[in-house]
Amino acid sequence: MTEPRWPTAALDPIRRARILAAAVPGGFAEVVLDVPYARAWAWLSNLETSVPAFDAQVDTLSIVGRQPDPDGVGEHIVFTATNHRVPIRFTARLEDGWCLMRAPGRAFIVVMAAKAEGSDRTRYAQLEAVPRPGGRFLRRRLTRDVRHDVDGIRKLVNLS
Amino acid sequence: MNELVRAAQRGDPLAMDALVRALTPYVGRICGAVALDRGDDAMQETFIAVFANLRSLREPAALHSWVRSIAVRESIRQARAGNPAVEAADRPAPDVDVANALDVRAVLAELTPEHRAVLVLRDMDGLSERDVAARLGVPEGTVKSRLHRARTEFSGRWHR
Repeated sequence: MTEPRWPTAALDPIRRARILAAAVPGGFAEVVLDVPYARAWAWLSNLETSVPAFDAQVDTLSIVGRQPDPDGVGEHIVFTATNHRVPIRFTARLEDGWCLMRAPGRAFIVVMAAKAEGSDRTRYAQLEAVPRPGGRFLRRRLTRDVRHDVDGIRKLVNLS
Repeated sequence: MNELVRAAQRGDPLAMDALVRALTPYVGRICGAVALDRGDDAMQETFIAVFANLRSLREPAALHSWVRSIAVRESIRQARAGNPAVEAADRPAPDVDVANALDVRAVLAELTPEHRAVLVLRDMDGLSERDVAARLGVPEGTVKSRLHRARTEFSGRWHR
């Protein structure tokens, strides 16, 4: 007799983003993009191109280092983003459908998450938060920023 | 793992995400087996509850046991929400292809969420009946009777 194989639940990137959004209050939005997942994530995960295109507060983004994470799943990335010529060094963990970016000292985090929604659409979620005491007072501003970014992504990804 | 818990308790989102990744296989087995089709929802709600209450966990070494209790509670809640109470005895015998012995999900679906929880904690997770009773907040006698019924249902259908 074959041993029973217990059913197992899974955690997709969108649910993973919702979990962090609940734990670290900030701006959060979900949207369905009218392009297939492979195309959407290929564009979104090219951080040097996508982030300056949809985020009005980022003029340029340059990756200065990247290497596989020891778990063999993710990639550790170091990049510099400039805002009004002021450079800020970020670290990020990039996986298929998931990118968590963090500024030094937990001053700011951004999560981009995506998964296929059927064969020709993509569910996308974005979280921006300041995970420090008092960060929740920025929630309204961050929510506005995320909505702006997501609106931009919805338009730009169709042109990709 | 203890350092990760402490960092997550301090509100570090990277530590929270690392904890999610570390606990996903374990939580996924509990939620999948107890909540079945609502397993993914149960897992999301489990982690949201974990981080909402993580600061109350005084001893990081007790993390697995603490998370287990939350996962079982959320799984039962999700299963109940998705499938209003139907007692196993009231259901018709399932048409399960046990010869192929892979459709555990269909066999488990014939049990109530409470019976599945007892079966999972005792037979999959290896807890004693006393520990199962403590986790579920029910008398040990209730665990014994639920376990007997669950095993009879499960085993009978599995071997048929």
